[in-house]
Formats: sequence, C-alpha cells, structure tokens
Amino acid sequence: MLRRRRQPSGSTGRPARTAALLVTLALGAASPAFAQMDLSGSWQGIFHEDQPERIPGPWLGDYLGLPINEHARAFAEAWEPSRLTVPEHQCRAHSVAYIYRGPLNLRIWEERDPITQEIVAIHADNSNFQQRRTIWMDGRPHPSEHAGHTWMGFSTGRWEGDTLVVRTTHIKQMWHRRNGLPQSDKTLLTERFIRHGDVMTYITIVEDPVYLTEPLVKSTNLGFNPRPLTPQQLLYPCQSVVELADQPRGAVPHYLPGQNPFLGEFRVEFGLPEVATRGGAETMYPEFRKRLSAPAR
Amino acid sequence: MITIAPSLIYLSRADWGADPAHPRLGYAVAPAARTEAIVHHTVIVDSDATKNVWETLDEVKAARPTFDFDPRYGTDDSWTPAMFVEAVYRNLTAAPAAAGRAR
Repeated sequence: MLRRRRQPSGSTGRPARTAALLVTLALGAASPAFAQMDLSGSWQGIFHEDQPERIPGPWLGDYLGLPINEHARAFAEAWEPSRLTVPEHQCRAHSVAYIYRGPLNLRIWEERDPITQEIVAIHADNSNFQQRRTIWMDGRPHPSEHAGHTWMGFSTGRWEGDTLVVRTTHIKQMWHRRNGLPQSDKTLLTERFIRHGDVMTYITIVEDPVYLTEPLVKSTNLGFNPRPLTPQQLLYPCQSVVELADQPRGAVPHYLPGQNPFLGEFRVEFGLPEVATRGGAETMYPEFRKRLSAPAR
Repeated sequence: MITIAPSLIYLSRADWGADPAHPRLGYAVAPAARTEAIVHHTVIVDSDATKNVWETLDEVKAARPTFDFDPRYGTDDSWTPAMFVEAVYRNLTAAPAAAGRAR
C-alpha cells in the first residue's frame, strides 16, 4: 500500500503523485498480486474435441500428429493393452499432464491467508482417479529434482492478465497417449486456464526431453456446473483384483520387438501410409500432407 | 463362458473366436463389457508367441532391449545399457545353484 506523504510547503506534489501512479501501474502489470479471474466452482469435461481418443481410447499404433522420438515408438510397440490388467496398474492414476483429457468432474477452490487475505494456493479435486492437486501461488520455488514425484506433480502458478499459467514438475512416468506412448518423469508441464464465462479453455504444453522432440500442445474445454458436485461425483473407489485367472503373479504383458500384431490395424482401417501413423514432429504440420502418397493397403 | 462373480465372467478361447494367427487365452471381463471388449480386440496373446526368441548374449545385445529406456537411464558412462544387459543376461542364464548362492 502506498502511503501519502506530506508535501513540502510550496510544492504542488504532482511529480511525486505521478511517479507513485506509474510505479503502481508497473507493479500491477508485471506481477498481479491478486487473481484476475475466479476459477472456483464445479467444472465438467466437454468432449467435442478429440472424443475418439479421450473416451473409447486411441487405436493401437496410432501415433499420428505426436512429436515422439524413436525411443517412445519402441516403448509403445512393446506395450500390450492387457498391461492394465496387472493389479499394480488397475488403479494407477493418469498423470496431471493427461488426466484432464479423461472423464472429469473438477472442483476448484482457493486458499487464502487468513490474516492478509492473499491467495496462497489454488486447489483442485479431480474425480478421475480421485486426485487432488495444489497450485502454489505464493511464489515458492520448486523443490530439488531429487524430491519425490507424484501423479499430480509440484505446481506453481501466476496470472498473465486473466489467464492462470501453471508450471508443474516432479510428475511420475505415465503416458502421452493411452496406447502406450510413454511420458517420462522429466516432463515439464505448462498449463493455461482461460475462463470465458461458463466455459474454461484449458491448454497444456508438454515438454518431455526423454520422449518428445518438440513440445506437445493440446487444448480442452471445461463447462461450469452451477450445482455443487455430490460426493459420488468426486469419488473414485478402486480396488485391484485378479482379472486374469491364469496370469502368473508378476507377469507383465508385452510384445517383443517386431511381434506386435495390432500395429497395422489403424493404418489399414483409415487407409493411411505407415510413415504418417508412426508419428514424429513432422506429422504435426500441414506441410506433411505433401509427403503423403497413395494410401498403403 | 464361466461366471466368476456377479460382476465378472470368464471368456474362453472359443468365446473370443480364437484363430491360429492370433491364439488367445481366456479373459475375465464385466458381462456388460463382453461385446465391447471383443470388438476392441482386448485380447491376451498366447504366451507361446512371446517366449524367448534370443539365445546368445550377442543376439540379445543386437535386439537392443533397453532402447526405449536408453534416453532416460542410459546416459551414465559408469553404468551403460550394455553393462545392464550383460548383467541381466548372466543372471538369467546362471545355473540355479549358482544363482541361489549369489543371493
């Protein structure tokens, strides 16, 4: 808070007031001390965008439009969908860089310092795998790279105008796409939450130095729910069971290199050349269409 | 098809429509998901198809079995992917008695 100073006699005080106003404006523009938009409330996923990937799930062998490297492709080609039947994986949450793409009830609330009323953090409960995350807004640094990793990672946020920008590190290894494309624990996630009335645009920029050659950018929309979410809408009871009676304990379903029989189904079904379905940064850009030849059937 | 519990059934090879090209084992699914599961080819490939196909250490190395994890864990010169593969190979090919003593 700026204090009004007693002006020397004979001074108009105008230069001092102008300087104070400029300082105030500069501070406000550079680092807003307060939320520019209230995101609190109940939100739900809207699935008009990328619905086939987000609900039924992507085809095996569909890496089109993803900036993956050859190591990520090798990982995915060895991946067997029944990996999800392993007890250790049945209740495994999506990582924060992926979880908002799935079925979603989201409750957001802010935490304020009771003395100063400054916003210390923004919290969110996510119904998908019942995950809770905290976005620290008090300027604290990220921990050492050796600190523990979690599904939701460690997040800090700041306001850019009306957009909440969040930076998240310390995320457990998971996947970029639900067909086995890996996401490493070195991933840096930048999120942008942009509220337009009852709709929130949510943009993720994922940088993964292990498995991506360029940042992976996705957008998703959320709709505001004026009614509070019931407990049942936020709970995700999950208890792992033996799904395959004859699967030995400790077995990890997989394919050895070159033996995955399902990789070509997506290519054949949609009449796409293999060079496209195998992904890579070049498949993200419109110029890639020039490289496509007749569909390989 | 065998009912394991009200929420779980066991689909046999015949239920899946197993064929010689993609031999399948049985699979336990929720009854409501039976058709969907079959349509989406959520199958378990016969373990016979994925048994070891490599014999020697050189063959294993040539297959680069750590390739998908090399950019994450393979950058330490004191513990390279080749060293890891050799250690695993020796462990898996050691005589049972020797392996027991090693523990």
